[in-house]
Amino acid sequence: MTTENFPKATTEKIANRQFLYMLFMMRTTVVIALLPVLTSADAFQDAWASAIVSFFGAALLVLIIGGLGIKFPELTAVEYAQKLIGKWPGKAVSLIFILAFLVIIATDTRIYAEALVTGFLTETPLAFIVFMMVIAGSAAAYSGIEVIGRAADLLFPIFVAMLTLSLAFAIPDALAMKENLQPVLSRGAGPVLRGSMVPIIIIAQYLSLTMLIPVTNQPKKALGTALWALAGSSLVLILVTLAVTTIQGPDHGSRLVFPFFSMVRTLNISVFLERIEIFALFAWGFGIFIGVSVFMYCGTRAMSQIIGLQDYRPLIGPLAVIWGTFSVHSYQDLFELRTYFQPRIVIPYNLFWILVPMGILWAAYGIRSLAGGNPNEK
Amino acid sequence: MKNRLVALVLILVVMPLSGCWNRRDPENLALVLATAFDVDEESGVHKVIVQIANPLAMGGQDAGQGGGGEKKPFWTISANGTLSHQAMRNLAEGVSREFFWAHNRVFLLSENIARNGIYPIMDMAARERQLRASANVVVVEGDIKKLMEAEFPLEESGAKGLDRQIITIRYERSLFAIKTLNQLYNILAQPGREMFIGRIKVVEDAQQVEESSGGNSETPNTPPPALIKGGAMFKGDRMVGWAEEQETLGWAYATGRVFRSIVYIKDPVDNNTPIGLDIGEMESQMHPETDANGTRIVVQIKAEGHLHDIPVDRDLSVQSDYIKSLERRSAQAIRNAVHSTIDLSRELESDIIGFGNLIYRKQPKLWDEIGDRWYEVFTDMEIDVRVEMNIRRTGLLASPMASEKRR
Repeated sequence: MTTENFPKATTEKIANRQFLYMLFMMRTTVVIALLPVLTSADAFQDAWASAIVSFFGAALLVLIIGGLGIKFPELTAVEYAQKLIGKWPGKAVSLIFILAFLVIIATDTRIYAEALVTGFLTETPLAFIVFMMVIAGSAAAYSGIEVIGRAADLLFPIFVAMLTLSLAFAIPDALAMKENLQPVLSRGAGPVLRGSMVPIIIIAQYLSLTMLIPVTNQPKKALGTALWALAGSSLVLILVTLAVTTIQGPDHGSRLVFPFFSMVRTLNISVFLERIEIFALFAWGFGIFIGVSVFMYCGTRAMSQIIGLQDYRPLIGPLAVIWGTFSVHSYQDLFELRTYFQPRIVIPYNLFWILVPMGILWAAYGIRSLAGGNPNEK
Repeated sequence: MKNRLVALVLILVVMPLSGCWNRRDPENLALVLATAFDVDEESGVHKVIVQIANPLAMGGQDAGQGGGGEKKPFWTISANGTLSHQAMRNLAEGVSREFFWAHNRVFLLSENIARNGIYPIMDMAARERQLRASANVVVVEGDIKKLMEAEFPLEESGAKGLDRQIITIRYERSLFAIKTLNQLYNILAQPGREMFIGRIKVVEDAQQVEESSGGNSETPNTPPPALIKGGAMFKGDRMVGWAEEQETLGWAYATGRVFRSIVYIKDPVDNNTPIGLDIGEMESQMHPETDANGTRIVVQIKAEGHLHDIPVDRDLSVQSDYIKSLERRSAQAIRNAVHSTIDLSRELESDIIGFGNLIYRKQPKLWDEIGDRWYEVFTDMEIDVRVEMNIRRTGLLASPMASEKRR
């Protein structure tokens, strides 16, 4: 395959609408898969409040991540980092983004693969599922961000429809067991805040903003778009949390490996309409696919800019192998995957990805502004 | 737009076509219809009895001529193991096909295993991917093996019979606590509330049926394999005792789980003639009230019903004093049932209505103080059951025949 048939990476543009769909799907799949508001801390029946709090915390981080992109609407983070703090320091800082994309792809794919291996394809090798997803993601990334955008256009309605179906079927049971939400907020703000920490920090996914803002049609509005995507996925998170807490119970729900999934499995609409978890599974698969493709695009694009390549496509093959291998080997088993999502590990780790590069870049930007002159100039 | 629609339809069409890569074809699986768990108290060995659909005999009405006529439509087999999951795996020693558990509709627990604690089974069922938490759970009084082998006169398999009988008794008499596995997890984890699981009584011989139904029915030619009523009361994951008809009704009244129920009272005029009422709708609400004397719990029950047995000539105009006194008497009958449940709950320390949970939910601070010694507090706690009964209809007959015409 030659790269000449594909548009140049520098000229590709996606609509802000497609940008919104991508961000919405990549966050929604991960926050509802492990449902950290319920499983990561002791929020129990108040987890829905944690979900609300998590929106505000995550929004703050989105502003930190995306704020600079608005100031440099034509440039990716790798490019403006070099502009702000010099060529080599800029490249060094950008490597942190690459590390973040690597871990995020590996983890998202791994969660999906673990769910399939635990619940459905018990005899399929884990690596097979991981590499199928990575190959699909590579194909999408190879075709370019415009194609991923159109895939998001197509999959978004299906994704939303399937989530809506799963949640709609849960309504009767949830209403019958709404007592599980009481006592409401009886233990003060502590548990609610603790429950919101991990969902807030998973916003590290939105580091993809640093690479995606310049490819949107209206980069100046991209930050607003990202916040809308976050708001949408927070709404889904609140609804899913309410459904799981009522139907599975706050205690049992917090012990489950894949709470949303187990909840959907218990639904029994009528004698002839049951086993509807397949809806949730498909939605999940689509979301992971979009997420993986976007991160592969962002990762290879960032890498190509760091090493000064014209096109990012030649990097997809080698990096896909690294990503897939990392996904299979970075976690020995489900225990390690769950350990990764414990607040004391995931919070400092992800905060490092966000705050260190963005902190340096914001500081440089601030100093250049204060020193007078336009930071956009060299 | 049209192309996008076509693409969408194509994707949706492909979804149900996904097959299994390891060719585990449905027609070659042993479909488990019902699973029973038992434990030997002395050795601690767990036993699992399953009922498997027999496709050779189930293949429709013509199967009799096709050579499968001698076969029962289902097959019962059992195996032992250290814990129930091992026993389930050990079943394979005697079965020619691979098991498929996802169609299991009923979990039956023997009295033995219920009294020894059912959490090990709940734990296993939550981990095992094929078992569904939406299956119903019942506790069996009597020989569980015999029940699993029994044929239900109107049904093709025992499992289907049980499944139907559970639904039927619930809608007809509200005498059964339907609990899915998922609800059991919920209740076990809730503070101040205990599990209450429906009971199935195995019929050992026809004599028993006669006694059970009050001695006024003739011995049927084919006795039913099982009678469903009452329930098993738990403390923690261990069963502590049986609730009979009255206590089960009290539980259903207090928790608002009544679809239809009958109340018999005595005629307020001559204090002798039995009068029957059908209760159609019932709502129940509970809330704690705190005043100078401490906290008490108010149970408010609103019931609506109609007369269906009134063999004496009385004034049945709706506002009449007679109807009012019928309402008072039936309200008292409901109150008695609820109180009998509360008394048994106190005696067995099994708070199946969930008064403790009510306090935990509404007054979490108070629960922090009393939660550890809930059953001490519960014994002395005042529970005020207020019943409002409304008789709405008199059936299709407006007024009974005058007494003198019947002579």
